[in-house]
Amino acid sequence: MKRQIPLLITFLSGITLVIQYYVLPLNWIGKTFAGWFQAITAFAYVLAAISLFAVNGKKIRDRAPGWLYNIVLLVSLTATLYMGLICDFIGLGYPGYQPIDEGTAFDWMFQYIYNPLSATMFSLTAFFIASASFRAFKARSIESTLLLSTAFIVMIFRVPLGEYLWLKVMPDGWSISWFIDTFIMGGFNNAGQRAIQISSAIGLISVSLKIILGVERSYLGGE
Amino acid sequence: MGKPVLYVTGLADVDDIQTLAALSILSHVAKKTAEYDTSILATTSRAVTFSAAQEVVRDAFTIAGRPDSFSVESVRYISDDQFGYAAGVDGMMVREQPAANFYMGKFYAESLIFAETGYATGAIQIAGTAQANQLPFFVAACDYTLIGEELFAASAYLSGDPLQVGSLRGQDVGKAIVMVVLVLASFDATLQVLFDWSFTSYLGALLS
Amino acid sequence: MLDKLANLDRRIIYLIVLISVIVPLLNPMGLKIEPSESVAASFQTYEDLPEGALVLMSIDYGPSTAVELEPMALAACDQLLRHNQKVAFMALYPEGQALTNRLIGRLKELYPDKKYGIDYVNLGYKAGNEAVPLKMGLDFRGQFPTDTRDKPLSEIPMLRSVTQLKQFALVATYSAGFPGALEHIRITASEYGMPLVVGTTAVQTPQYFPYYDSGQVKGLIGGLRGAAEYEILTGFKGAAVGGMEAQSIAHFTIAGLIILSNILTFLQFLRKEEQ
Repeated sequence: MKRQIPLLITFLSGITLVIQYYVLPLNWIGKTFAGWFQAITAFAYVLAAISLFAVNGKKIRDRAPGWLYNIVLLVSLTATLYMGLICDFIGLGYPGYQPIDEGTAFDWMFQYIYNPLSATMFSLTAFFIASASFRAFKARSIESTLLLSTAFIVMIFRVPLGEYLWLKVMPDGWSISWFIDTFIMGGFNNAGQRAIQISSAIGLISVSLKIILGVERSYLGGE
Repeated sequence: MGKPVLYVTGLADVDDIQTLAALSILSHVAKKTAEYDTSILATTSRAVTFSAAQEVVRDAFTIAGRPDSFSVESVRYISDDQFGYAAGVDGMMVREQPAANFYMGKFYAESLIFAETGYATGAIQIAGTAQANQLPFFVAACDYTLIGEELFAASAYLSGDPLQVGSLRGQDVGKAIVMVVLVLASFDATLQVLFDWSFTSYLGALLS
Repeated sequence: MLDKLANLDRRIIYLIVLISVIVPLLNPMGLKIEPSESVAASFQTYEDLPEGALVLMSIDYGPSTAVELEPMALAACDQLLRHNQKVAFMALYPEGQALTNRLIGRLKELYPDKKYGIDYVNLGYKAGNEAVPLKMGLDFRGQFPTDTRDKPLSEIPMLRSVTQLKQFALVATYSAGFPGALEHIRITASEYGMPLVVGTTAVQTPQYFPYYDSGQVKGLIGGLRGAAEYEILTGFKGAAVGGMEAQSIAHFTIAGLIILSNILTFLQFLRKEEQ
């Protein structure tokens, strides 16, 4: 029964959601299910938060290597929760009751702590792409040579400096941007993207059907 | 030997099919790690995925005959935020020094951050995603990459179940049908452009 | 020496990239940027709007991608307000609402004569991913009963008579991922037939080219390059054009590193052959 009931729920929910998509008067069912899912997610956050406190608390208690960072994590988590939920939501001395309004402490944390941290992490990608390219982009075979040359052309000639150098060498009217847009982006790239998207969609349909019909059960755990 | 296996389930929630595929593969990976008495660290970025992953790993250890080896700390919720998740997982990689990293599911810009940090720690890396724009990063930085539909096929292949493996054949047949339709439709559209006549316009005229 | 160079420490590579980005920011070169077809199409779509037209702009990016997307959103808002068009901001992305506040703050500085509620309004973030464009197409007022200041739409001058999505002349989305452009393409443009302009990050641009090619999307602005092209077309002095110079040098640096790596690999191969 432990596995039969979840499989039955999956089947009924899946079939209902498929039918409601095609039958307009039943569309409200999909929206209701989406609302239920959000409610379940909210409860699941409680479990996730408990896990966070448990894992980090244990490291602090055991003085595991780097335990100070676990304190930083828990303090940041609690402070953000306090600012957003207690401080600004109840509206103690801050404009408005929406935590995200301009002028609230929560908004200040978002603009001056979260924004720079997020942008910094994203900027790591620039450095990592350089090291990954240095290591991986080697012309070892015909395919890797093609990959390398395409990457080279797009990287060099999609930036203003590359276009400027191209026009210094080539006659007027020989636009490299047009070549890249039409043949590389519009041709090879489009074809490759469409192929991956179409085959992924077919795989997606297959897995979805298997899950709805109970053929695929590994995501539930057990055999 | 003695190093853990890191499993990253991606950024999407459990309502995304890529996450479900990732959880299916997690089941097989967790079973293998239990059999070889290796610890597993599964990280999630969504609360519901965290709950589901916990059950998957617990059951996998039970089936492998090692229920006592399961630790609740082997499945961790890190953060909903994309780069908070990336920072947390990177920190785990550098501290725990896993021997193998699995990146399965839906990834965005953090894919390269994971893969490069994992490479720096010397781990074997296997990735799988249907996000076409993140595949180049995984292909460049990981040892093996499951591309697009291979992520969805992996669980069926690993299970060995004839019904599931048969569904892979069905997928291939579906792809073949799509390919034939694409070629015929492209040929038809070309006829329309070149000769101002096509089978579809002829059929349309017949039916109207 | 050869092996040492071939296995160059990552930190040296990072330092080289850092220098290649900082130097052009401090010493701009004034390079010319040629707009591409998809960006020109986006610009023209905005230009073709009648005066006083209503535009729904979906701000679907977070702080990490604001560097690429905010300049194009700002340039587009500048173009709209200059032509006395009206902008209603919304967000499918949770962090979009806070970034809309930032965008509006900038617009207040650029256009102090334009008023909130008359020329622009912030409808805020709505949870629900795909369900949001789906519902707003069926019942716009029902999906957005108030703005972020809890004022009913019937009391906001620019939206007083707006009850349906079709009353907007254009929908634009500046999107970093999920939810965002794909939801608007699938529902707002394909299902409800609304003209849609998409601005997205450089990494995601190839993914949306098929939609631009097929005409489902009227214009596509990709990455910082697209934002710089848009700023050139609109004449708006934003951050993207300066950023492109740094990107130019960084690209050349990475290309140089790739060439170096291939030369070193080849030399190692020759040395192995000799041995």
